Amino acid sequence: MLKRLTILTLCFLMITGVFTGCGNQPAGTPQDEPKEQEVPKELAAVQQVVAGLGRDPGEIYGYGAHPPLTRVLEPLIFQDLELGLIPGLAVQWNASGDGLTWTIQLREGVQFHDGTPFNSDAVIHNLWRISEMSPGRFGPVEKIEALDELKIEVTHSEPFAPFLYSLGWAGSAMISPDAVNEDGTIEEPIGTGPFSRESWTPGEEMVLARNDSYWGGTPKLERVTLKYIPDPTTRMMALEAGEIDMIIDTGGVLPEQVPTLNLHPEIEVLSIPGAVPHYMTLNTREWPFNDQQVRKAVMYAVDPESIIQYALEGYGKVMTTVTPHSEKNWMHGDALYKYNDPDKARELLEQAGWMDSGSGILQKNGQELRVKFLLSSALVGRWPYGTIAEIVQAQLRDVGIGVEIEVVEAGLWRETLKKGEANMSIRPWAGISPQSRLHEWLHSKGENSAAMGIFFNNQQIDQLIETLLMTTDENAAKELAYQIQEIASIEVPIIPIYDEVLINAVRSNIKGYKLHPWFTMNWEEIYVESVQ
Amino acid sequence: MHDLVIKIVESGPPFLEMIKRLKKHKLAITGLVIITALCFIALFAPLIAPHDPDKLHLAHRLLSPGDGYLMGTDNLGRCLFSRLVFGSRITLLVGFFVVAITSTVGVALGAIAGYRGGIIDEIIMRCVDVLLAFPGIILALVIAGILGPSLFNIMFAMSVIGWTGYARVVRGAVLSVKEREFVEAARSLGASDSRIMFRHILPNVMAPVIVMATLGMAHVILAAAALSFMGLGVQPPDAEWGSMLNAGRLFMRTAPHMTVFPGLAIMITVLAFNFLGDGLRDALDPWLKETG
Amino acid sequence: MTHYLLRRFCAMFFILLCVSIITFSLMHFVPGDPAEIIAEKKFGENVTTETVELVRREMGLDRPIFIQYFRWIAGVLQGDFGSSSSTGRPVWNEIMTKLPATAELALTAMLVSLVIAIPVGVISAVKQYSIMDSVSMVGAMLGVSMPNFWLGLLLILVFSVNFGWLPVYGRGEITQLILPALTLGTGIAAVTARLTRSSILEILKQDYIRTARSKGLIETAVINRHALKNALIPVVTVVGLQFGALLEGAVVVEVIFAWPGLGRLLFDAIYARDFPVIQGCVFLIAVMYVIVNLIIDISYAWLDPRIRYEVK
Repeated sequence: MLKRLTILTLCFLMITGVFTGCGNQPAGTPQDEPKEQEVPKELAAVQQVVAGLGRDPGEIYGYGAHPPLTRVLEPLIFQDLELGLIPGLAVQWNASGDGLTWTIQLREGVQFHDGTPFNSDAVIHNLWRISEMSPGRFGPVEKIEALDELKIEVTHSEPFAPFLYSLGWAGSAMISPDAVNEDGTIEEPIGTGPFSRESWTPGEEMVLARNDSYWGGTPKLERVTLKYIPDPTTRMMALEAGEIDMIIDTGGVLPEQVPTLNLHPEIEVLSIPGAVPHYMTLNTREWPFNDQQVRKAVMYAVDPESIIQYALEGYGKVMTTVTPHSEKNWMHGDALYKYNDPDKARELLEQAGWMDSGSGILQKNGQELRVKFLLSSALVGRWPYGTIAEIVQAQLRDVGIGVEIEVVEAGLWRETLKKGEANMSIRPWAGISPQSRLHEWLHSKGENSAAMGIFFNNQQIDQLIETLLMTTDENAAKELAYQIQEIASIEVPIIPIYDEVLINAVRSNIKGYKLHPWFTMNWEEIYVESVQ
Repeated sequence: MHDLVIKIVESGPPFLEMIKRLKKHKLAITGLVIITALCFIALFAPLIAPHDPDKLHLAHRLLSPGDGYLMGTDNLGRCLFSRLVFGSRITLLVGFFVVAITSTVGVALGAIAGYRGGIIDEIIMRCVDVLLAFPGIILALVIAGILGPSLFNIMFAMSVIGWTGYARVVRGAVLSVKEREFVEAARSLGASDSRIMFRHILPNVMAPVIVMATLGMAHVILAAAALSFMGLGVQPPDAEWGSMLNAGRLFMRTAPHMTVFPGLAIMITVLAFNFLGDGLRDALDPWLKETG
Repeated sequence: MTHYLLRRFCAMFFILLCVSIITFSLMHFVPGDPAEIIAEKKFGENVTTETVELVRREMGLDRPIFIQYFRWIAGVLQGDFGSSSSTGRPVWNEIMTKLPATAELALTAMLVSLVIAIPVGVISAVKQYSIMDSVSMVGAMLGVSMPNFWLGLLLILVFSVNFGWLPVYGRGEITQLILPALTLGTGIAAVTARLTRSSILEILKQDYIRTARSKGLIETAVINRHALKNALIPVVTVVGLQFGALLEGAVVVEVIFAWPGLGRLLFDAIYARDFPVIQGCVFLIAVMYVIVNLIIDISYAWLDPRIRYEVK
């Protein structure tokens, strides 16, 4: 009996030993001298890359090819690395004095992948298609006219300030009119980009082939394969083993994986501040967050700094106003949102009549201050929301607010929030333009107000936002945006938790990749260096 | 689940004989010792755990085993050992609950079907056939995915199918027992149906149920871990071994203790139940013959 | 036999009917409006009420539920499961492109489990209650006692990242099949090993084995020539029963190894609330399950005539 138990124990110890051993031993051999780097390198004979990512690049937007990730489809206006608007398929644009009429000059000599010429007709077809699909995307459009083969004119009934940003939005990409079915669905994404979609196996991979007649010059890569690898650990290990050349997309590399990847001299980890802020939302219609004092207390209780340090391994930026760093021209200079002051939070709650009942959870009129924090499982899989929620839970508990975390499947999450049956949630939001961001989150009819169960209703802010959308003068618009941000920080319907820092990783023979805040891939500039 | 066909002896397994045979099966005893220890740990968790399992201590995050914490800390600075100790409660609770529900429902319906026969039998057994057509975890995944992953929904989802195996086995056993002389004798003496059922039939069909329940525990614990992996497990901050293992995945290389300890905890527990189940099967061998 | 077969086929059709009803109604237990969910999948998160109504009419979701069911089942009988709300492709095509991958994985895993289980079962039966018995059974059970996803990741770590012997993920090369099949196969090996063990123990007690032994045949010859052959008949039949366990395990293994099979398709569909795909997958899996079970039962009845009479 004893003998067998010993054998059994030995078995377990051996297994533990093997596993921990594997864990501690960094894969690869960092002590190898990477001296060859000084030798000038040449282009590899085969210009192909395989990139891994955590979602199916074909399933997004319903176009069969995610515009920034695949670059099969391109919008009229591009955004540079600082998110400034630069010419894309449109080369020039200007507005009339009253801000109602926009004239857009299109690029010459561009063709869709199917050979259809890119011209005014194609653009008009696209603009109407998109407007029908998502009303209001391009503002109150009255008419769109072709002035000539390569010039169009868009007339609004009221000024619509974020118009150019709307044209630059990934969802406003140009698709060959021939590729659109009568009911508006698209099976084959036929665009103008440096690569065309050669094949797509849903849930598996997408192969992109070089567009030899790309208007921006022939890309160096012949072929790009995008591999959908759902499990982040598998994805990382595939890069380590050299089976994929790069990990792309937001949420491609998770912050926790960076130390492991850094052990490999042949892998380069890239990171830049992204254009994706993450917001915590409060349900301002229902008890207890219908009380502005309680919402403010939550703001004082949370500490984004510690969230960034401990849940994001430092890959994030604290936001002090609802406008993110990527829109720095529109961002209020003062630190409007104030965090990490639990004493102030307790004081506010006490002023609002909340008493400690002895259990550590505050009480008012016999009701305990307990709230439901609802998370979407789809988002939890891509960002460390679970960990963030646990930190928030501990921080709110510290000031006497009990938080119950619930992670549900994405559809149920939306449904529950819409009905107002949760008290708080968290989600990322890219936002089409600085102006529309404020409208989406803070206006009583903004799409996130109802969809995220915020129900914030403030007449003053509504008016300011409506004026902002029509204000084309930049200085006046910024003044309005500042005012709106100030009110938001006083009323606290949402709490900006952090600005994301994007992390991607590439093998070091892949050159020319520049990480874009919108995770837009510059496939036309990437090339493979030969490994010696 | 494995179907078991029963060879019934007149009086049912004499307890002492069974213990004697079980004692010969060293692995089963090992399993039994481990399970008893686990129950003890779960029961006295607050006394055993050195720290609050849910208390964040961010400055102490990702400490290796030893540095003031027996098994180190997780990514939020919680004591891993304390979380494992408290986690045993949820893991065992899920297991016991699902097994209790499925075996009770299964035994009751199987016994009724077997004893009554006729249309009732037909209805119950066709339900069993229909439910058996769905692979368990897949239906559980769909249910938990659709209803949301609360502890209750998870246990419910795993119970929906689980009972069918018991019902099948018990029905078969009841069918063969009810024709026996001692049941006939009891009936001719005027015993009521419920008396015959509880005094004469059920004790005779419990052997395979005990084996199935023991092996079922192992199965449920693994299924719960699989659901955690798919993001439909027990909710934070509750410590459950499967969700702890899943949370540690991202730190598999930099902080291996976060996966090794919950992983081993699951493995040892599942092994223990499997050992015990196997031993019981061998010990009950004269009363049941395995066919698969 | 004919009577038995007839009875079994009738039962199968009844079961499939019920399975189809359950599968179909899954969608209607979901909180929320299916038309809205589909419209959102198709046209983006913020659809207008008109679009939702349009989708409802198009999909026939405004009809009474039994009519919806009949339309669905009529389609299913012709191999039309509707089209995926994520990709717009026909569900049938999606499933058929994934099915070979899952079949390949499951069959290889089955092979792996037999390769592990039969030697283990034989050794532990022959050396019953010895250390060899315990060690080999514990060994077989280790695989079944580890959560699949953990085992899979550890295998990748050791064999792909540390040693660089095998690919990490994907399908195509034969080498890519090894790790997933190993992960899945070890998960069911213990059951087969246990069965082989008890089956051989049973046979070793039989008279003809005693005769063989008394004739002075050495032990290995007895085992190889006489016991194993007879013992494996029930084992082989029962292996089919593990089909369900394999499908269950396949979901996790396919996600870990990015294996493009049915399990992944279903997993992604659940997250995307792609109802036509969920319904199609669950229904098809159930159908396969029922058919496999039927084949097993029939082969049993064929091997063992007593069963035929029992059913009467």
